[in-house]
Amino acid sequence: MVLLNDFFTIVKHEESTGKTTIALNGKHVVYKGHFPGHPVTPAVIQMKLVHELLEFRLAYKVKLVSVSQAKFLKILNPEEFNSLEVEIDFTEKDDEILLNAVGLNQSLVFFKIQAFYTKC
Amino acid sequence: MKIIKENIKNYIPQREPFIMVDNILDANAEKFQTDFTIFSDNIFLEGDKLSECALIENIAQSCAAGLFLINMEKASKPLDGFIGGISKLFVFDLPKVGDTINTDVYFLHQFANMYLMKGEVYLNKKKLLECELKLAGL
Repeated sequence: MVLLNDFFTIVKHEESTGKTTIALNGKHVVYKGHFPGHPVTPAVIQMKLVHELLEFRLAYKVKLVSVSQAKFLKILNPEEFNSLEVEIDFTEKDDEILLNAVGLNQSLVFFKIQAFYTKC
Repeated sequence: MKIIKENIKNYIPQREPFIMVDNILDANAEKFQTDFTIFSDNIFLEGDKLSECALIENIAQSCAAGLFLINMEKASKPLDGFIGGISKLFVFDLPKVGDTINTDVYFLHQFANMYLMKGEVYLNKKKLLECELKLAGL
């Protein structure tokens, strides 16, 4: 499953600040199972959309190696919040990438992720 | 075998296509053991490999099912549960279509309805992924 252009779309991207605004597709099949009649964006899907946004920034594929910490601070119901601003800060060293990502809607923080990836 | 696949929906709140656990093999106060077979219709497949996201979700659902199973006298139906945090996660390898993974989850700490659990996913005794999960609302 690829989330980009199915589960979410990129509305706006600013390379200078690393900020990407995305729109969530509340009708996506993921929400049928998580949960019926009560859509909540799964934490693992939030991890995956950050992974895909990192690849969008890098313009190459990466795989997840480790997660030091990921915090999911607020329930992300797409009917209540259909867009997110994702701020991604990363450093590349050889084939390793250290990522720090934050997902927000206005002043509400939904997630903070610190993870390591490696070039595929 | 404590719970077979046909009945798993009585123990977790997730529904298709987001069910990432099949059978609860054992559950006691310290540890739950589950299995899960990867079919070609799994939404987390990328090519013939399963994304690590499905393995993390498998650990979370193994926790949810086990916690409900051992607390059944207190709760009448499984409640929606959430991953509040992931830490100490390492990915070693990913399974493929046709593989059956085995998952062990351990209680580390409980405070009210917050649980800190450790999960390990194996394929033929080879560890694929491990992490700690903070789960809420179970």
